[in-house]
Amino acid sequence: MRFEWDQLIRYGPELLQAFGVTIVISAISLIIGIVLGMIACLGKLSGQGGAYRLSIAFIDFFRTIPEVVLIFWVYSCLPLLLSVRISSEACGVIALSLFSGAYLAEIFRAGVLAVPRGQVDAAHALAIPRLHIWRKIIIPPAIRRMMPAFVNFLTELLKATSLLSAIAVAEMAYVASILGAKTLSYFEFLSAIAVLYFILIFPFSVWARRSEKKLLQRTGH
Amino acid sequence: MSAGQAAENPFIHCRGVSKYFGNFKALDEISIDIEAGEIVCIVGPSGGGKSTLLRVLNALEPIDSGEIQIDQIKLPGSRKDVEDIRREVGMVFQQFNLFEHMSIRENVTFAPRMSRKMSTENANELAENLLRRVGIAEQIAKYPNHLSGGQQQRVAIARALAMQPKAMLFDEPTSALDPEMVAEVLDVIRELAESGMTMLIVTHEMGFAKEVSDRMLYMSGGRIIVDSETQEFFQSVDNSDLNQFLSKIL
Ligand SMILES: Nc1ncnc2c1ncn2[C@@H]1O[C@H](COP(=O)(O)OP(=O)(O)O)[C@@H](O)[C@H]1O
Ligand SMILES: [Mg+2]
Repeated sequence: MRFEWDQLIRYGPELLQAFGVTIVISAISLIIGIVLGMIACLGKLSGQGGAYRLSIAFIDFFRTIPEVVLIFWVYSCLPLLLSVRISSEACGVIALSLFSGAYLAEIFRAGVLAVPRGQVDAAHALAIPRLHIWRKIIIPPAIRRMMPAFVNFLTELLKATSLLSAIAVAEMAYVASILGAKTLSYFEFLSAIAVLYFILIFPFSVWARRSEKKLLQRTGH
Repeated sequence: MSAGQAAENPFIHCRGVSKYFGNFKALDEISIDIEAGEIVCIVGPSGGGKSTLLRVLNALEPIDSGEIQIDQIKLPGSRKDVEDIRREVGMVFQQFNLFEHMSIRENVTFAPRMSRKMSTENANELAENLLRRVGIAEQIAKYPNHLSGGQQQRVAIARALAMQPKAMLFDEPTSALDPEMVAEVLDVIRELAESGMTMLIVTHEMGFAKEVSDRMLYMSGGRIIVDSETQEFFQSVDNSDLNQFLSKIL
């Protein structure tokens, strides 16, 4: 067997475009997921009432169902339910945003709960207004503590975009399989995207590991 | 101010204060009055409710019944009442609880800037003065984890004083310290005592308590079992619980 570089070169622009789609869909889903995650995190931290129960339900539900089922559900059922047409890209973003929101809510919550309670008490005892306690006492150390888990999640999200090939979103995995079928150069295209995924995701893995190490050094346990 | 007037208007006033954690009664009908300038030490076995008493006085824990009044402000009260009380009453914790991600300077200037709306310049000057007063002016640019326990606790005292409180609550300020660092912290508290600050100090340092306090409380089981003038407390109070406690600790 011969590695057909010319096929890769011919379809290079398509592959690069798909690489871009993967990044853009991840980025939009991440941003919406961060917003959803913050809301659900605050809801769960509130500890009681309607917002609390709703947040728990949201987090538990979307963390439990398999991502592929969620993707198919949004793609096949949501348009019927709302009786609107939704593009497959939008469906992908919706599904991955819900998935991200649920996971990030727990990551944020763990970060907030890891901030030593005594520091929050001390801030209250100093008559610091609640908003400033969040902005200056809770959030900065919470971000530092949640960073490894957050970056790890980012790698999961980038990988999860490949599942969108199931609903024909033109991201890397889908485009590679289509080009493979068209040219019968499966080996070339699938190897190429494996390398591209690695280039995209590996730096985040390294970052996650580094930030974890730094955190361990800083907190000492 | 005559003694009679002071008695009618104590600086800190608690009447029938109870506090539950679930079904557990951590404070059981506590009533005490503390005059402005008075120094009161609280002793007693672990789990007796000493920390809880200090925490309810600073509204860190809500109370379930009774009433607290500090400098005419009542608890339970509105959020504003709670903030007003906290501005008047500084608190120092056993574990220091410094803000780890802030420098010593930021730790001390944070409250005056955020809560008293002081300018950064004035807050910095205040911080320098207070840190000089507690003897660690040269550490101002460092971070808490670069300081020894004794130094951290002195920063915590400076941080509380930066709010210019009228009273200070100390919850076992030296219990988490290595023995060789206890004295430097007690020296700072002693200096504060001499300056006329109203203080409530939970401590196991009996010698220190005897020396600085006007009055002693013995707490156990969520109640104040003995409330007596200091000299009397150590010499002539006849309470079997207290005598047993003192014989163990002295
Ligand atoms: N946040 C809390 N939740 C549940 N129980 C608590 C809490 N804080 C204190 N307690 C309980 O209240 C009792 C009094 O505690 P504390 O005031 O800390 O005693 P002390 O300071 O005298 O050792 C203890 O039995 C303790 O376990
Ligand atoms: Mg205690």
